[in-house]
Amino acid sequence: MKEEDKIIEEATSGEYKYGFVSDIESEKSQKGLTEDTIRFISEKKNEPSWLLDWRLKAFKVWEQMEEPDWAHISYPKPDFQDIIYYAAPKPKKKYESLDEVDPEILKTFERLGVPIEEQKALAGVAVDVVMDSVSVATTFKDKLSELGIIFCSFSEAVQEHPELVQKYIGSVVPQRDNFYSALNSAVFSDGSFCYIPKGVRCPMELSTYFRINEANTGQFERTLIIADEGSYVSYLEGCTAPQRDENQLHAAVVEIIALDRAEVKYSTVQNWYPGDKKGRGGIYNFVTKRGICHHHSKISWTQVETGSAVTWKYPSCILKGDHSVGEFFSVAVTNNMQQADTGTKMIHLGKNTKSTIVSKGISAGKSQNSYRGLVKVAKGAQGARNFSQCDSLLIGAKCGAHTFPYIECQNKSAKVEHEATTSKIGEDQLFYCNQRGIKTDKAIGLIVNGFCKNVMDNLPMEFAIEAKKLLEISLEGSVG
Amino acid sequence: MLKIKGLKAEIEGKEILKGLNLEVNPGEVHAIMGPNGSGKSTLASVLAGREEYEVTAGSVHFEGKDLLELAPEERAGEGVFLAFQYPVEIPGVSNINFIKTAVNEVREYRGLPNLETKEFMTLLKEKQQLVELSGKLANRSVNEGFSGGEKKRNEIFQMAMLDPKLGVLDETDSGLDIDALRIVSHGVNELKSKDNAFVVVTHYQRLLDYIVPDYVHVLLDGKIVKTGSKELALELEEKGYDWIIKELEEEKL
Amino acid sequence: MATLTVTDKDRFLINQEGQDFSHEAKTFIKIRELALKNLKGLDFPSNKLEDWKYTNLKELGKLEFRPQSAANIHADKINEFKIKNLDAYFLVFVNGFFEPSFSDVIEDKESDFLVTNLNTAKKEFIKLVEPHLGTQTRAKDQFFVNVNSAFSQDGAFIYVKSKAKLDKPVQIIHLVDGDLVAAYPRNLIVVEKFAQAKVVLTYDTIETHSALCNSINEVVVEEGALVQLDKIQNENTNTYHISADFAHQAKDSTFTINTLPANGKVIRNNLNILLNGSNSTANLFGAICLNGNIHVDNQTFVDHAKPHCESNELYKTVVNDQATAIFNGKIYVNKIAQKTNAFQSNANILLSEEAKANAKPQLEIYADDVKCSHGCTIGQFDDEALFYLRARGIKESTAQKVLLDAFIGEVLDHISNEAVRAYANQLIAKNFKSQFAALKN
Repeated sequence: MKEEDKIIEEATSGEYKYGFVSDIESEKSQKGLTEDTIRFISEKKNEPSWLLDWRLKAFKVWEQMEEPDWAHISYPKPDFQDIIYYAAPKPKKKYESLDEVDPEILKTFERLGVPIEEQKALAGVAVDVVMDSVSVATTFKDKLSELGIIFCSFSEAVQEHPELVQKYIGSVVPQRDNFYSALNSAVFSDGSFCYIPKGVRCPMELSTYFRINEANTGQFERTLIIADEGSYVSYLEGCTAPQRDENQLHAAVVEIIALDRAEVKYSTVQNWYPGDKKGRGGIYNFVTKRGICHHHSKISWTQVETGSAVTWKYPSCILKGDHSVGEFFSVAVTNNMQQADTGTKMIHLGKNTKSTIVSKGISAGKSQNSYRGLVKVAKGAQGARNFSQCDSLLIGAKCGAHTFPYIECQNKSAKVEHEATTSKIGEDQLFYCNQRGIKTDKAIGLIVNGFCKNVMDNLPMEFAIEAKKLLEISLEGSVG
Repeated sequence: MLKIKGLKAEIEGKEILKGLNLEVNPGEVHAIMGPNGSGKSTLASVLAGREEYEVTAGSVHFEGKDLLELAPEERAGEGVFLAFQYPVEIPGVSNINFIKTAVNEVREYRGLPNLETKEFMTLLKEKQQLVELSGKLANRSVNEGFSGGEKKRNEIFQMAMLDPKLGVLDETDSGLDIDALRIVSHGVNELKSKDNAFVVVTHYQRLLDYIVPDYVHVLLDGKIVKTGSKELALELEEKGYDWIIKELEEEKL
Repeated sequence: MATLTVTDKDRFLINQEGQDFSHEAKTFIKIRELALKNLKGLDFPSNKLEDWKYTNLKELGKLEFRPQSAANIHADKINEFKIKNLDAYFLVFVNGFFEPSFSDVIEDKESDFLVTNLNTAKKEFIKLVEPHLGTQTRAKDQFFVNVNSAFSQDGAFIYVKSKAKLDKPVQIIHLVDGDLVAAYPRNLIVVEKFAQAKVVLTYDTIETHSALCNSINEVVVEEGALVQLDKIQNENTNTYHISADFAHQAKDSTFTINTLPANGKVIRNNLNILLNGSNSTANLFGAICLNGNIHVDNQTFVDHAKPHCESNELYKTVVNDQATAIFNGKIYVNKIAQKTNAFQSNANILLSEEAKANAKPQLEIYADDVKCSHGCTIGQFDDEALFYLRARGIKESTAQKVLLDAFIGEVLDHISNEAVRAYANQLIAKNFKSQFAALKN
């Protein structure tokens, strides 16, 4: 093996650093999925009957669906009867303050480098911690409620704001949308809910840290964000999961409704356990994320994906209203045996709608990294504009990078542009860095961060720092 | 400081350097001249450790250490700096981030602590002035969209920042107008001291009006065939290389 | 008793039977048998298949197409289909059957090249045909490839001996005539080491209310050989055209294919290029200017199997009226194909409210030291440019024509033969005549 290859191999074989398990008692449902499971979950959560009916309808749909296999990924199909669909840390009623939170949970976050205390102090970030499906702590709630902003767990929203939930749940991602969304609709355990009232600009970044904790528990989060007319919110979702030997399934649904003139910025850093070097363990991440834009509104998705064994994820925008804007900025890093099939859909329905797609895929090790996207301009989308740029960077000779864009245009005044490139890190570039005294792994980090720059620039500051660190962690042998 | 003995090197099976000898001492400036294809740039690349070139015979010692054993970044750490003939572009990596990383990596190699941001910025400003490099370039991507002159000045700027013991300038004068040439040379002359040395690889004599060499070597067909003072450069400029080839042939006879 | 349901596939296949191929050598019958076997496991293409996502063949499936030879063919009519001013050898086929009386045949064993029909070659030059025929079309999963392999009537055979050069281009003319005709022309072009050949393929209709032309071209490009194929599809609006072109390239070879689908009902082209030797180059160009109700679906697959190869792909499309254009291009880079350079570009211009363009430019890359890119645009003519021309006193219709010529010209320039290029230009101009005439008023 050439020296350079060796270095690249070393640099790209960093083991997952956040692999530890926190020991918290939990209350679980029986394994397997039947109507009874769903009734159990619904009862546990004390849900109104309309929601139980909604879940059961989804379950019926799901039973008739087949797991999709069109994505460029391969994995042993999960046994849906061998999953625990509900696990909640033993409830201690409601928490008034952080002190009441299980110290083990707090410790877990500390070890992740994102202690809640520090988070609280961080430039006005309110953290809604979701650990194994149930929201255990919410901060900054008072401050937000002054403005009429609702930011709470999904279950709480079901109890406190049923009219909003009932109106919007499934309105962007219907139950029958796809196999995983149907599954989620049937069994979702908890998640986040956010409502920004008319004309309100949310003064702080709303942030949720997800974490999968119990062995063998599927996580079925559901997030619903409603930005009323003329409002603004920036929402952060960050995830890390402890190391596990069995594959864990994660099938979340995120729905965003941006009403007239509203703007929603949704940023994700995803760092779930990707499995070890041989591909053992690791999270299966099958997520449906979609937003609908009304007139003059804007939804912007920014994601940095470094984790999961298998990722299947296409945050999308339905640009229904005239002059609405959709954006998608993505960095997807795959290493070792990871597989990612990710991208976006921009559906232009309204006039003068605009969308921008910037996707940066980085493949290392033996991983496979695919971009899959759809840009659709419907007949009535007069003056629609799209610009897409998909770049892939290959590190090492055993990985693959693929691009599958679909472009459908039915309006002559539309303008759609798509560009894609694939390249490797140039030997010239590495040598230039070496000659300036920079070691190869560090040089790779530099170049990769440079490659992703125009996506990272779209992340909120504190998130960008974490994301940059993650990139380095996932591509280097040591902490950056 | 630098001792090259019987150095032979090839690329893709083709021998370029065919037994080259050179000794450089602190405080000296050596010019290496020669026609196209004589092996000038190969010498520079081999000193910096470019992998495409395979050293088949001979030795290179730098400050007593076997240079050929060291990785490119270790050579940089030891104090060997190559100013590239064609500096590469690195999109997305800002110049300032790049040089900061390099400075700290080299300092780490030399057992020095990282520079505090304030110290670094002071050093940066000082060295930028040295080569009249606009502060605006600091935030641009490394060499991306730089003019030919800016790229070369950026090379000298990086050299100033890294403070090497041996600077190897590979055709730094190519593509430069008179003003840029003056600035680049001024930078080099300012950096010159009794403790460091320079090897200036060039095709033209004009650079040597600005950076005055102590020795001029003529590289022909992979070997240094003639060594003289700076006057030799003038002679080469005037008469070309043919007379040396002839002289050599006569010697052989 | 159980009800018998006849699927589109069953009906379609039953209708193709009745041709007698028993006189053929065993080796060729085997190809037909294998294809029939493959067909058993295949469904009639529907939109559910990713490859047929954008092209609907439901209507085709309902029609009772059958192979049949043409009745009366007039020499005058045939000569119309020879490209004007083209100095070439001509081979004429009607409904898939060879018409020797209108063709220039070279069958001299001593000659540097052979220009004849495949059925003759299967008998007379079996040694030259056998190693190549059907080797590239084993694609188990392509319905229409297998249909052709099973039922093909005849086609052209062109062979160029190593180091020789075909002194003139060959124009292969495939015609359909009569109602509910199914024609399965199959051409085999073998160009040996360092040899050169230029072939022009034209597909036209004499008269039909409904026809299917399902064609295959197999091209063998041996070491250092140079082959150019110009493919011009100008059938009438009642004709379905489904074709597959296969090129197998050895090292240092160059293969160029210019595709020009001008008229028809539904046109589907599948290009399969295998770069199977290092330093080989493939060029794929398409000029697609559509009007009326035509639906054109171009699929390309470039397989970089060996290192140091290059592929260039440029498809330009202008869509008018209710026409639909689809481009689905895939570049596949094998893990050993280091130093691959692969470029793909697809540009579409929509001229009318009802025009549609779909594109799916794909890269699938398993080697790391590669330079691959693709670009795709959909839009209108550059308003700025149009305005600039008009500001200089050029009428809008003329200005559009100028821009159209410039846009498509980039592709047409790759057609090296002047007469062929002129013909291509003429077809495009004819297609857009009404568009520009309308603008003039």
